[in-house]
Amino acid sequence: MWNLVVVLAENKPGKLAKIADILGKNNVDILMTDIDDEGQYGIVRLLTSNPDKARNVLYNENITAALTKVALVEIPDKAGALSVIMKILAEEKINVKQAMGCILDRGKRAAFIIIPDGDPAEVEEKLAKRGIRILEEI
Amino acid sequence: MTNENDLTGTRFEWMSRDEITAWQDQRLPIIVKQAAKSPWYARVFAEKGINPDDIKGLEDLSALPFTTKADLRESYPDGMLAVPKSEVVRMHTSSGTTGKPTAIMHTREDLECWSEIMARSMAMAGFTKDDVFQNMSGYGLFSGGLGIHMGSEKLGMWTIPAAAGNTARSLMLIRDFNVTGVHATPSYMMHVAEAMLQRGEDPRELPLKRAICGAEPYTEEMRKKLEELYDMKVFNNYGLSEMNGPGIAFECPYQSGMHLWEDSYIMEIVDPVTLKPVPEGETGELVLTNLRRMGMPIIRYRTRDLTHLVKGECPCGRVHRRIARFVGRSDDMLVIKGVNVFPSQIEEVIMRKPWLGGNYLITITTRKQLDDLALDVEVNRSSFDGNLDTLRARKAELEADLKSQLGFGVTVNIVEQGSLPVSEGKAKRVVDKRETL
Repeated sequence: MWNLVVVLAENKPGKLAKIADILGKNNVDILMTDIDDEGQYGIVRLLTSNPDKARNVLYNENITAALTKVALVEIPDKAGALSVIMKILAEEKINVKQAMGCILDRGKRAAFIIIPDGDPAEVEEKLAKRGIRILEEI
Repeated sequence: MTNENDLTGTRFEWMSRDEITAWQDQRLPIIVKQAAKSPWYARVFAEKGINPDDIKGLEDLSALPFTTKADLRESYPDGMLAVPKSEVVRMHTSSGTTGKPTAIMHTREDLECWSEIMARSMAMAGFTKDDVFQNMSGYGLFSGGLGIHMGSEKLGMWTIPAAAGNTARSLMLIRDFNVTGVHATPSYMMHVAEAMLQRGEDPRELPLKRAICGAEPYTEEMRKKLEELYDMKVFNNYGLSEMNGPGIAFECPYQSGMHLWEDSYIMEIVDPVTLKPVPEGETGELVLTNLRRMGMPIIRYRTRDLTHLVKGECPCGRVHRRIARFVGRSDDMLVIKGVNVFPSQIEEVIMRKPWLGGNYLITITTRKQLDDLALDVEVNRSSFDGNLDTLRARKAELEADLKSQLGFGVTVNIVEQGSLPVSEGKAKRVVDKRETL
């Protein structure tokens, strides 16, 4: 089970730069970012190489950061791969609240992140049974 | 009446109701004659046709004029001084919550009386000479610093004048000298606890047993939060520099209202508009008359602080009447959309929510010719679970609670912890940007 780092950040210029700067200085790779705008504040989600470390270094710099569990799977980086996993999700009756992805290795591997409406562990279990590779590290 | 030299003040502290009334009855004519020695009161009494000799006792109190902050400003610098300048040993100014400061002068005897009620207050709360007491209030012109300091020394406590600010040094002193008692504003105590928690330290591990919090209004919820955070008792103190400073009213261990020392002050609670006494137990403006300060006595001072009398007898046995926690100042009251609102009502709601950090800012603007109240509140960082739905639900619940508390809608802005200004003195909680018509 993988964690996303979630940051509550005021919606103003320079906030993301500060987050990226802290993670960079601490040698944490950011593989993907996603932002939800809630007006005065935003929710920034980060897929990082080391979620625990990322959360702690941000928290120590007075940033409101938390971890949230997600289902993280690997799919081939090729046309049609997404359609395969979407079909499986539909067949398993998994309701997806949010989904995002990023390329890990161009033309070869991609990561697909699912925030389900329910327990991400169950989702991973169902997907594993259908032959989908669950990512334990990135 | 027992030992006159009793420094803890049991002579006044345990007076009976009849003794207090007799004492006030005897003191009022003396203090009025003393006030008449000042140029200000000499003129005011003459203008109003009051002969100080006609004031025979308590029943004549209502014949005396009120004194306001504006009067103090007008008599600045020393128009109310009732003794020769050479008798003055100390001056303080008001903390200037509103407008220009006002100067208050004390004789040596005045300071002795003030130290005595302060020491008496602290002893009542359970402090003893075995305590190590750190005063984290601003010193200097602000009466809260030296007032508490004198009381602490008078009681015989090991007194550390740490003053406000420099949190790291204050914490070092608390740990190194095994400090058991502190005095600070509630918002500063909250700030220190937050700073510790952020560093992964537990404020409960400090040796503190008791704190005196005052100098700014705070709610019962805030007190409970502080008591829990530090695992100590927090005592409410009321004072204003015009009437000396801290120690005017103080809580006993039962913590149900503050005993106002009626040997030192005559208390009245009046309707701020009609200036007539309110029925017992109803909220009104506190009016005080000095009974012991001979250097600069002030007669019927309108404090602007709104409170009510706590009915019934206190189980502690002291008969000095109790005033309730202040609901606000008559000039702090906000009128929003025609509704009277005190910032304390909003704070009450915030303090009930553990997911909020406690720091907040109220901004009032005009939108489409209507008042609009926006509330910026800091989340408590450790409560953030990374789930946007949780945050949205909490925000909606907060808005609903505020609406039911105030009777109108409030725009809530959730902000990160640490993004609102923190003050180490009095917290600035309200910004009024309304266009004046």
